[in-house]
Amino acid sequence: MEVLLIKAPRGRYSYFREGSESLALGYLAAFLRWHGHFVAILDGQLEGLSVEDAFARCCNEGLVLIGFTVADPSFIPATFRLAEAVRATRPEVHLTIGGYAPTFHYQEVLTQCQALDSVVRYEGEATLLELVQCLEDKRDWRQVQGIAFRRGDVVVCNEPRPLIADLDLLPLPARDYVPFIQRHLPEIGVISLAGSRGCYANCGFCSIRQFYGGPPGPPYRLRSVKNVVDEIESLVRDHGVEEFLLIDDVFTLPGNAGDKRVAEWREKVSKRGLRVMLSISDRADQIRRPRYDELYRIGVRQIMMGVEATDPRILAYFNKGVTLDEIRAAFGVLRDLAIDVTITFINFTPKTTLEILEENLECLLSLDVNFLLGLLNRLQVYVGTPIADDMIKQGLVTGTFPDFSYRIPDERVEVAYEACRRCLSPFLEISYEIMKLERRFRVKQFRLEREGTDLRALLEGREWFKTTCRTIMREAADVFRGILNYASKECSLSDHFVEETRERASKRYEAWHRTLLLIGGYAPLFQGGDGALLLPRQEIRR
Amino acid sequence: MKGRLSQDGFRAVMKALSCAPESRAQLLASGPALAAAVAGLVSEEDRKCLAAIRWDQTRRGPGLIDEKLVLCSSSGY
Repeated sequence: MEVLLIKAPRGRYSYFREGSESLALGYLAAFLRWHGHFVAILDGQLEGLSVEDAFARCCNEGLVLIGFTVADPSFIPATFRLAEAVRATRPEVHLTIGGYAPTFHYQEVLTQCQALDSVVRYEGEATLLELVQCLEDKRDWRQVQGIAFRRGDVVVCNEPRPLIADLDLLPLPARDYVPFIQRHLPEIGVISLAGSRGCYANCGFCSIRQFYGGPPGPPYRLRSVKNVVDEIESLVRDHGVEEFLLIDDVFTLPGNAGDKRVAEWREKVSKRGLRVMLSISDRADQIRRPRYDELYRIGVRQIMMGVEATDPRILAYFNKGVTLDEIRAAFGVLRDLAIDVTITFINFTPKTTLEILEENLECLLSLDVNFLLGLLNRLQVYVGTPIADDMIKQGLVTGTFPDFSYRIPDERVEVAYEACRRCLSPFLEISYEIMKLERRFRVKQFRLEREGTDLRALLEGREWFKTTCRTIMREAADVFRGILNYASKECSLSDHFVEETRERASKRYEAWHRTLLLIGGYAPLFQGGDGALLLPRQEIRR
Repeated sequence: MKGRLSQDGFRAVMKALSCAPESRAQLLASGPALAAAVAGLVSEEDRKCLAAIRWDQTRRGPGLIDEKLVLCSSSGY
């Protein structure tokens, strides 16, 4: 059977180019292929296609099913447009859709997009296989466990399918897009892996727990370390990949179980002689030594830390289960180990006051990290999460799927947010440039260390880069303070203030951008040192 | 962008840019402006390298931030 699995392009301007393939499509494709079906993958977002371009690639005559994956609600409008275009020309093809948003909003999805035949809810492999097999055998697909569909005007939802008990039994995800990423996205492309599904934590804004907690089965499952390292080794061998992004929301476990798993990683990676770089995500309360010394040794060079808040009231609202002291301690560990830190942070929430915004800014500055995305981030309403469900109960949420919104009760915060929306887009641009350059340093340093080459020029260049980033954060903070000061006095935005602030942000951006271009384009760091002396490895701070 | 500065030249440029935002903006207005500012502090080769810089038109997206797109992008890279 011929199947096409699609991630539609978002169809809207994004400040950030997509850098990694859809693992969802990779796993689904591999599972179907393992069972003898012919599957093509089209990642419209990764390829930077328009909806029209993506549509042109859906016209294979032999197709029986097209499956759309939706990574987050911002993809919904373009996905619907693509489905409708396909339906208009290919009425015989079964169109299905899966992912978080379709799982929780299957009613709205099937009502709003009549082009779609079904929704594959929750974990998709077995459900999609059974759907494909029904179509192949011309059996009634409406009996398939795990799907939702329309019967006339009524949306029917079948029982959720139990989760796959042993993730090691799944075939490794298809890697159709690895050559594309390597060839066309050298600056931002990254190869990702998933070492687990679900999460042991229960943050109030996050829908992972609801997604994996919906069907029968354990909501948090780990692949064996051997299975994950096998996958890494195969990608090194088959594609020459040296840098990996582990997309697990938490890479380490608490307590002894976590230490044991890290030790197993160390043992497997070193036994196989793998010299790779890893980027992982973790909670602040798990970032400590000596565990992270071990992780450094297996190649961890970047952490995505879900900080989300620094005010204890907001941390409690989020049910994060971490304290500001733990966050600061985590930063200390990562600084000592020279592991890069990227944070996620949610500055604007229903509980945020102007005073909290002021405190957040000072706290973020003290953490010495690129906080620009988090500064501008507003809590999104993801129905199914405890916070969103609570907001809906309180009558705070307006709009309909996929465009939910809400007003923050402190009106001064809404004024500040509107000013940010209208004035601070240069902050997003520069944040992206910082991340790209930071990565170049990280990769270069890793390679030079592996070769045993002199690092002095690189380390000096890296220090100048960090100094520049600190300057950028300080100057960005000044602009943001200007907005907070305005919002403390005025109940609405004036055009004059918007124009003045936008101009200020743009001028700052020009200088920041050109400084980063100088560092990235003109510094001698990428030449590798003068070759005279090798910097001993122990001088790199541990 | 092409060209590489020497380590000394790169250091001198970075030091020169560690100034107030308004002064930095003037230094970065053009390659020749930057070259002139560090003329006595760098080698002739570095000075020529800087003087040859032409800043491209900087990429800029739409003025309004879409709140749904701030973090929901790729890989964190």
